[in-house]
Amino acid sequence: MTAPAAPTVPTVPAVPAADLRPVRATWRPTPAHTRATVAGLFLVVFGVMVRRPELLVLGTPLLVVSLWSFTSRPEREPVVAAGPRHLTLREGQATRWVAEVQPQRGAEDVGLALMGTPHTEFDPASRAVAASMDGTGPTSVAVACRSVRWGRRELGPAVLGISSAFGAYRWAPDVVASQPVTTVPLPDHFSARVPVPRPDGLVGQNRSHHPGDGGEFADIRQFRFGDRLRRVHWPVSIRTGQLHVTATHADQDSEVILLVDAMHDIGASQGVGGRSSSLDNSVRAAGAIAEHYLRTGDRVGLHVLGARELPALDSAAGRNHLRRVLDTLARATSADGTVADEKRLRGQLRHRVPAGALVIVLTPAISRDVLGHALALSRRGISVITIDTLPPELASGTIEPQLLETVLPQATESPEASSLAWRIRLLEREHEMLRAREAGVPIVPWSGPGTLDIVLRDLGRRSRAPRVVSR
Amino acid sequence: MSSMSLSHRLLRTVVALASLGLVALVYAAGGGLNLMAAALVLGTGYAVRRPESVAVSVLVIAHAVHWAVSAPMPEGLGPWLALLAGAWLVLLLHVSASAAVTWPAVAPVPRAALRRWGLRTLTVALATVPVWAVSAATRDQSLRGEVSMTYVALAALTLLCGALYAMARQAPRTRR
Repeated sequence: MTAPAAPTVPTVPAVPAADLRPVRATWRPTPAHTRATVAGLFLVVFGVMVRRPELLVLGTPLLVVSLWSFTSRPEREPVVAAGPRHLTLREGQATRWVAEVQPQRGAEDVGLALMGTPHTEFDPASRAVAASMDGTGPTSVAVACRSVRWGRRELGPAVLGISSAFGAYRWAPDVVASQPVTTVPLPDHFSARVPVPRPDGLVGQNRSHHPGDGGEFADIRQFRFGDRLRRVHWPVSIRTGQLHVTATHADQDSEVILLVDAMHDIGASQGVGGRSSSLDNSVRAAGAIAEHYLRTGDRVGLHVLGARELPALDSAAGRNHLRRVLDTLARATSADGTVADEKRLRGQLRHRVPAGALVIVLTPAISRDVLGHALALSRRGISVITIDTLPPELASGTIEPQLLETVLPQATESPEASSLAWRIRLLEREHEMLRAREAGVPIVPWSGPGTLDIVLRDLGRRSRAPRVVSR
Repeated sequence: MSSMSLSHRLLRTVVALASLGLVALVYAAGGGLNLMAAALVLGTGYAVRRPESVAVSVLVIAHAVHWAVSAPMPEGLGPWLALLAGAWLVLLLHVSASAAVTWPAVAPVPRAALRRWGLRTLTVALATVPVWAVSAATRDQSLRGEVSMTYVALAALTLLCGALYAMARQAPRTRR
């Protein structure tokens, strides 16, 4: 695992301090105050009654502390606002969980402790801070939280406490819960120089098969009514004696549909800079592909297969849509492998795919249904590319024991049998992938920029050739 | 204890030293019960580990009882000075145990707070001196008065203290 990168500041604006969630509780006497009062009174009164000056002297400081605490007790509830300063982060970015306390007579000490959150690094690492209120201005205590993995998580909850003199009275809500923070995936670097095979939309940057306004030469044909004069090809017109124009292919946008297989999450997920699971690879690759095509003006749709309560995202274009795609990816969770999950998957696989769309399936190829769906789409004449997102260290037959535990939890009990089982599953997977390749579904491992170039070129060539499809 | 901040370790060390110092002081003052001293040492260990528990209250009362039942009546400056030191150690035990539960154990205690707590503890320690001095000065004097009135005064003092305790138990008025 590489050393964690320094946290970066989020690009989204911070939640203003005034908009943080107010926290309510009441002041209560602490056991320390009860101790000082009861023990002090008992020793002083009993010492006087039985004429024992030792008890009187020993009890006096406790009684003085009790009286001091009582006379300087706070009379009002403090005004406290608490919560994370950012509700949306990118992987590796940090925010601060802040509690801001307005000055209040009698309130003197503030303590804040956050419970642990998965895939989050804290500064200080103890997740606890303390501060002394000087009474002149608001006192702010904060714990920096760096999210190292995409997802939607609640930071905390937190335990917050404000104390009066000698810790005699304490203002402490049970726990302070906050809104969940969405960490959108940090997309891998991705670019594709080869255009999408069959663009079939409106204005875009991909050369389509249709004639129209564009930059790529298609033909020289006779002039027709409506052709622009600047398209007239004068050498051919003079030679033939009839007006000819230069025809071009139309530049159109294309529709890219991303199918993210969340039926399984295989491998260990250590966040940014660490090991990635199959779902990590799928989500980051989907983010990168969506970012690339949306920047080039194409339309991108997203279906997370197997995820609960995550509606499909219809194809659209633009920067706002990129935010929607990343937000949807951040909410993806892997299925539990129950019958209900399989039913849901079957429903999700019945989605509409328009002609001319490019379907990119991101899958570890463990779920037969997803690979079968890619095959069915290909048979319908739709351009389909499958990206293998199984982590490379898990795809080999010889797998480290600690990695095997991330795939098969029972590997600690019977390591040899588990290793054998995983090798058999890999062989089956290889066989299924081979069948899919032979049926015309290209499968490529995710490797960042240029991952899709070769297969897109092949698909483009294939789309121009005659073929038989089943509708 | 391993994840505790240095300042919290120091606070708990002060709790332990104050409690053990009280045990030693009783022996130095000519008293001390071995069985009770052993129980106090064990109780100190528990109170250091759990300063938020009722063990600290029991420990404070037990120290006072240990002193009262075993040490002789103070006579002369030395035993009286030992009693004053004992009162300060009781104060230190209570305050350090209170401070140990005021902030999260893993967070370092702010210096300003430590300074404020220290100054206040010193003030309370000084406020104890007049009571100690009056007790020492009037120890051998026989005050005239009626016995019945003395008990009435004690009953009134008890009622006053009870009322004070009841007020202390109430949460302060909360105005928003």
